[in-house]
Amino acid sequence: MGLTLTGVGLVYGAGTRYARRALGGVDMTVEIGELVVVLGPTGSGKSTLLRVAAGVLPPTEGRVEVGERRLEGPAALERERRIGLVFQNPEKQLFAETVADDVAFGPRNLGSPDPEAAAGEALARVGLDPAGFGPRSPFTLSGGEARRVALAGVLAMDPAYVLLDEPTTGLDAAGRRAVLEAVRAVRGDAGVVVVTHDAEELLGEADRAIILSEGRVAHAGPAEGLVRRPDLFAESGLLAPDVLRAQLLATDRGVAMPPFVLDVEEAAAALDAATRGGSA
Amino acid sequence: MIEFCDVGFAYRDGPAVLSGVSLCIDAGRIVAVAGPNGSGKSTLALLADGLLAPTSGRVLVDGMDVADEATVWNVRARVGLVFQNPDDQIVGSLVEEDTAFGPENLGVSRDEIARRVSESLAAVGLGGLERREPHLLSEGQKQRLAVAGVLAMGVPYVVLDEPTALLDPVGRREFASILCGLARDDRRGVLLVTHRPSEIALADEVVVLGGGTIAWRGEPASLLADTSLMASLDLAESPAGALAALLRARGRAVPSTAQDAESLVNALWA
Repeated sequence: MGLTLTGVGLVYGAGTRYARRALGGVDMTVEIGELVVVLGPTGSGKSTLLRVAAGVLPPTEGRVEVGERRLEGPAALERERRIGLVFQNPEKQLFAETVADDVAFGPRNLGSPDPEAAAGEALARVGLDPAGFGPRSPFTLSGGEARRVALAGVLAMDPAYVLLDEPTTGLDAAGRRAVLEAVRAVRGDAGVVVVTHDAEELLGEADRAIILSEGRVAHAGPAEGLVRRPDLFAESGLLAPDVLRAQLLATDRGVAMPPFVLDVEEAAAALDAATRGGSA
Repeated sequence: MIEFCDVGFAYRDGPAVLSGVSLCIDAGRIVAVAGPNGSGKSTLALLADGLLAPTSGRVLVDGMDVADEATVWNVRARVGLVFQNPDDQIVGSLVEEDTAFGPENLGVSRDEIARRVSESLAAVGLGGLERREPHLLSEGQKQRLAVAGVLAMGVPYVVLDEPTALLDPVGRREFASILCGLARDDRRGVLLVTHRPSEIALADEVVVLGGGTIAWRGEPASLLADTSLMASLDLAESPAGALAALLRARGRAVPSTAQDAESLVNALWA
């Protein structure tokens, strides 16, 4: 099983004088239960990658497959071929009069026997009480609540894979925490791909990490590898998370550090020990 | 200076979005306005240049009331507003045309516009991209183009509404140095709406909104040093700030304004 991209390339406006390559030779795979983090500077092709992986954009080259089968389009009937895409700022797409109605829109259009029940379950999965939030107008929600309602709208269609484009952008502290909690809950029985600028949020618990640079995979491997080698961020024009960069800078100054960690408490202990007394 | 005197605001018949807000932005100073989503930060930014008029109290720009129809154009010639999303304010079909749009509308002479355009683009690091089409710029470059547009208007005050929300970490860092240049080198007054601790650390004063009123105000260092205060104001600690706090707890002299890896490691070696 798994959602697999093999040698995927995408050229916008192919065959016209405006042709612009956004992706080339990209391989990626995510299994159900896995979390893959996609990093890269702005304009490196991250959002395009999600659209291709979701079947919204057909690739110019290469293959997108779910399990053994080639992906032909976005709406597949069987669960294992359903891929949910949560766009950046998805709360702008909320349109129904009530939260419950908005979340039920997807399953209703897929012919679900009980779209209301699917909506209720999806709201509960993102940490919103269906009884309290269901009857409310989407326009009365806070940023974090609206973002989670949009995520619930995708989950209500019961996708096997959920792709999220910068899910915490623009949210305050409480909103961020709630959305990250929801992403963790989704991972329980779906494959999750998250595009983010804030690597520290999910890298520590991800299975794999991919760095895109100018539409190509600059690095791919276990997330752990990127934590241990934060210098790889700079090679792709990225800034490593501060916690990792602090450890890297300490090493650059010539002190011996244990293997790098994302956990702030462990990092503080390591930095303190390495720079205490004579050496710093 | 921009003065908010006991300002209240409500959209139409809705509940109060802001009430009893008083603050002041002087030349050469950065005032950060922080607070959770929905606390009234963006409304405050729109009041500062008269796009909205207060429901109660007054907003004065160099003594001119923003609600006064007779002077509102003078106010807008003195206050430059940079929206959260640069696509909301880019109008030109070339970078240089977009930058020229503001001064053209202020009736500035042709030669002066040319001078201001090249100066402003250089100031934000977009020199050389004059003939580029704005839609081909990266988000970070667009954000800087929006700033260049208000600089070219020659405004003494700049209001920035979460200017780095769409930027990647490299873009955020570049923006921080532009921000400091605006206040420290050009002596402009800057109102910065943000909830990033790394940007709060750059300010002279921070005003935290909560439920439409000022929940806390003071120096960034005292806010950033107090983890429980930050939490009570719904502000997230940055990972660098959390690391600095843990190092302080271990007796290390790391200042609370050390909000990135570089300043933190420098403090450890100081």
